[in-house]
Amino acid sequence: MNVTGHEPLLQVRELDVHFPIQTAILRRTVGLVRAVNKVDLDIQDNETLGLVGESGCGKTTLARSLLRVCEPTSGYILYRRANGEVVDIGSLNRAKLREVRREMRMIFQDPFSSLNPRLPVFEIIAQPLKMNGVTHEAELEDRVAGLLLKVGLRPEHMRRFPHAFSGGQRQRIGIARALALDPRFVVCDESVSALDVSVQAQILELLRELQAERGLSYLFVSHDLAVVQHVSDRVAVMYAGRVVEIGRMEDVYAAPRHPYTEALLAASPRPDPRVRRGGHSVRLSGEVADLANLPHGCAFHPRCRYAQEVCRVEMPSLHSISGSSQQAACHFSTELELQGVSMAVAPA
Amino acid sequence: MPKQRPQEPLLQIRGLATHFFLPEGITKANDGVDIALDPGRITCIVGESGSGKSMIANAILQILRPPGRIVGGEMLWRLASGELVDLASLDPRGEHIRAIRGREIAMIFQEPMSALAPIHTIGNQMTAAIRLHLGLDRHAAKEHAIEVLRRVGMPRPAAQFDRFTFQLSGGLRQRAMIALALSCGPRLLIADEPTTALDVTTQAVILDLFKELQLQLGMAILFITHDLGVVAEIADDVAVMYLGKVVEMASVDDIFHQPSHPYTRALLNSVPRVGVNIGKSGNRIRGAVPDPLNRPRGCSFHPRCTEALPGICNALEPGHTSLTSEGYVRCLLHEPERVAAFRREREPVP
Repeated sequence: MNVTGHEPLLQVRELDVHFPIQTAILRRTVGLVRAVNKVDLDIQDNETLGLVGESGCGKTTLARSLLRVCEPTSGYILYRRANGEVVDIGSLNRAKLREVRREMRMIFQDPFSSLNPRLPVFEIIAQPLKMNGVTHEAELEDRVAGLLLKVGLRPEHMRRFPHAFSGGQRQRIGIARALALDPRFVVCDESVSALDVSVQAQILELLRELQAERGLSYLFVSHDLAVVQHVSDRVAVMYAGRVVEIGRMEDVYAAPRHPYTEALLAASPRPDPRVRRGGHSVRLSGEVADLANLPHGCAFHPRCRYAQEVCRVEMPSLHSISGSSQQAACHFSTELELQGVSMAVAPA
Repeated sequence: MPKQRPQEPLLQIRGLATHFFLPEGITKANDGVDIALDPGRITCIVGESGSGKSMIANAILQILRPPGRIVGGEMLWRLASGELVDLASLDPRGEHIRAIRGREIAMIFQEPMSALAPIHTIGNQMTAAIRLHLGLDRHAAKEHAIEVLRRVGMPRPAAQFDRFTFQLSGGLRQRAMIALALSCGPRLLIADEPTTALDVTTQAVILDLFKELQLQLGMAILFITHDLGVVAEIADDVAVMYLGKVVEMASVDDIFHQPSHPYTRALLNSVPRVGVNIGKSGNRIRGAVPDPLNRPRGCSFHPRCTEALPGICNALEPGHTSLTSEGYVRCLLHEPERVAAFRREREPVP
């Protein structure tokens, strides 16, 4: 493996994550839920990759398997460590995995269930430090105080328990915990979805500041296209366990190359009553494909308004589109004239 | 096209106060709420969590759970005969409210899975309400129910009639919930965050359905949501709530294009928008919603407000100022005379 500084931080190749469906008593496997199917992704240094899709499309499973919280079935997750060594997350032994995970952390969705209610904030944030060899009490206190300041909380509150904090403050505690070990890669799984809009904007700003300061890379998982647009450099759209489109955020939003991306963008509500009178509407009918029983051909064809005979038979692979940063998995990605959203610049 | 505003409101809420009597103190979930609902219009109540928006819905239907109680105000409901009834004065368990609940005013909840009964078929739940309120017999009630299921766009309505909620997908479940609410032909439909648990694609379809049903059936809809995108998509009128009070009520165009209250402006600035590059704008709301047990004095938004007048907004409670267009705002910036009078009182001119 070539170890230059220009290689991606994370390279995912042909990743599969399947869960067996077992019978109740004999535990015989009667089927497979194919949550993640042959996914290829790259994440660069100091970059945010947004990952969007409907619920049940496998985006959380993909995010978790990158840290091996979910065990991958096959494929490679190549991660370039701080010292330049490239490791395959999927095949590391426990000790090595623990070491590598110091550099890869996660921020969760629900700030109410992701913090232990019986531990004071100090313990919550100090735990990862203690696990990794910082044991001196005074040093721990210094580090925790510094982290709390960093995320905009008061260090004198470190002896309080999570219930004394609001949702936004708890999410900041979760971020402080994720940052404790100076990670290089952070997975944010719907990290602002449970927050009120006013607090959501503050947390997004904080995540962005931290990225600029520390050169972090984020995988930002969300169902909200407006939030993803706000934080992402590139966007990957997932449907039924596969990445169906990926590319620079501006390109994907302005000129989608997959009918599913078009439908997702059209369905996102715009906070402007004039838009609804514009009369645009691409509506998706039907339900998300069942991951245990995927349709033949392109998994999206039963809901696709452009579907042709070939879509029912042959599965399209993700291919680059010439003259664009995008890759799309659609037989007609170059022929279709799909509608995006115009990227207006907000009034100052 | 803007819809015509009829003369008489269907429901006129004035000064509604619902308080929760908790061991640690009294929480004022609604503290003087004024809203008028007109037939044929969709009114959205928008606010952050804890603003008391759901409590209005519960108060209208008198389904507040203790320690919550209506402690003041009136809710004048216009019966089909033209007679007015004050819903606030009705006994929550009495005959009167039970004849209105489900029949004249129906409600749709956020989580259809927990609002629908898991052990009864969709059809059974619908016919129970139809037979009670409309007095139809078993056979006619079934026909009526299937017709309503068809109207809400349920595929193969006759087959869905015999299915259980767990056999349906999220979108179909919400359709079943809407069908149940519409089964007795209500004149007011209250929807409390009906699309929050749905994917954007399903949400868009359900919002279309609301608009379509409203045009067909002409009822009033009270739509409660935290999502300004949904408001822009569906509302005719909007009430913005903050800490138990309506701080601004206006038409949807005014709210989005000429907001009068600093909180409305700040809220609009906080929303990430698809298709708009926000860059690093600084105009966001500081801090978080205060503890309702320990509300700031004066205007409860003043600690987070960038336009607050020092010495004024933390002392005076903002009153009700009518806007030139229909609607009102509660903000001292719109009450220059009162502010001037207060200043004179404090520092008498020599």
